[in-house]
Amino acid sequence: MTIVEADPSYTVDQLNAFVTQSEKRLMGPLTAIGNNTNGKTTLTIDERAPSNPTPPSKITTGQLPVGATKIGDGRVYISGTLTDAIAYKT
Amino acid sequence: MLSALKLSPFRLICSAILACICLPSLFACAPLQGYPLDPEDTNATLKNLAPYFNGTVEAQYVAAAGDTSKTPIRDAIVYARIRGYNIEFADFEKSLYSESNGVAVGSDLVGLILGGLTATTGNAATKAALGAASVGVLGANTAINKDLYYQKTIVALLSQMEANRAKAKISIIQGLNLPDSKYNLFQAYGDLDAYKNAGSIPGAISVITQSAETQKQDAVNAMVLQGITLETPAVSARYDILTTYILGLVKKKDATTLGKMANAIGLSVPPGSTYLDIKGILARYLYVTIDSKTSEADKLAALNTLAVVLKPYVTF
Repeated sequence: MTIVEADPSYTVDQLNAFVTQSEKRLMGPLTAIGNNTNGKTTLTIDERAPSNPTPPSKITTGQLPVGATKIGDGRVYISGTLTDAIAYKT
Repeated sequence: MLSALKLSPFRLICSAILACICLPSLFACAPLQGYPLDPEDTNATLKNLAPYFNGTVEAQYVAAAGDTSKTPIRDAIVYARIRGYNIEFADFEKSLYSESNGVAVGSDLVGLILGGLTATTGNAATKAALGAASVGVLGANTAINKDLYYQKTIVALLSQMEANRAKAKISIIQGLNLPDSKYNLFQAYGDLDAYKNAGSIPGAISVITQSAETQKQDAVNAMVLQGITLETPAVSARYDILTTYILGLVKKKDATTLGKMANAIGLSVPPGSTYLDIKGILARYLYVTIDSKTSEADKLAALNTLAVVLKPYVTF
């Protein structure tokens, strides 16, 4: 597993762009979200998985979309504020 | 200026050679010490401390009975030994520091002087000869400066040695707060040995290496991207070709080719690694070496380097 730190100032859209990029580059899926003592959002990516998911995983601060599979939940920084969020795949 | 003295080229060159021989010794006599002069005659002090090292006072300790008698003798021996180790360490520290600075000072100056003469004096032949002498001196110094690593590293090593010694000293001081029955002289000897060895170069290197390894692991475990990278098409397209190729090998479960790629890059693959293990190693490596770069130019440069190494496998 590789933990990637994301800038706390990201909006939800920016964070999702970051998730897509990280999954693509590490060639594996997002497995957990959270935050750390550095004041950053953390994304855990499984680089040992056979491939990155298509479509890429997403993060939302709202409800889990219908038909989506929950990856996990956690508190992430959205526009600088710690916010409850859900990571999911479709 | 020297040409005004009308020295013949031959005499000028002889003077230069003489300077080569004499000046280094002048400067070597006064290397940059970095430490104030010590008014204490430490050799005499060490001589006076000899009874604490050669068993004389230890015999008194063995002969004494009970905490009241033994504890002060133990303390005296321990403090005397600490004093002895401190003197030796200070000498060691000074010699390391001086060696890393003294030699370069002398030869640098000679080189600069000769270089200056080359630029300002004589005809072409004289200049050439002086230039050669200058190169000779600076060349020698270049050899010394190959140890620039040593010069720079020695400061870190000295700091680590100081830190190791301070850490080792804590155990001793804590022990001395106890009566002899709870911390006897022979226990103290063990801590004193650790204190003595804490001031060694191997000890310092060991700690620094461990620390570097830990930091390296931390860096791998928590890689930081400061912002979303707006990759240029050149970077994105090439990166995609590479990752698509790797994922193709993963799909075929081709551990052999993945392993060869990892080895070509210089990554070690532990025996018994599966194709997914190797893919993970490659993914982390690519992420660190390419994605962690802050500028697109650096990413392209990293990709270019990688493209050459991986050419036998994939063109991107």
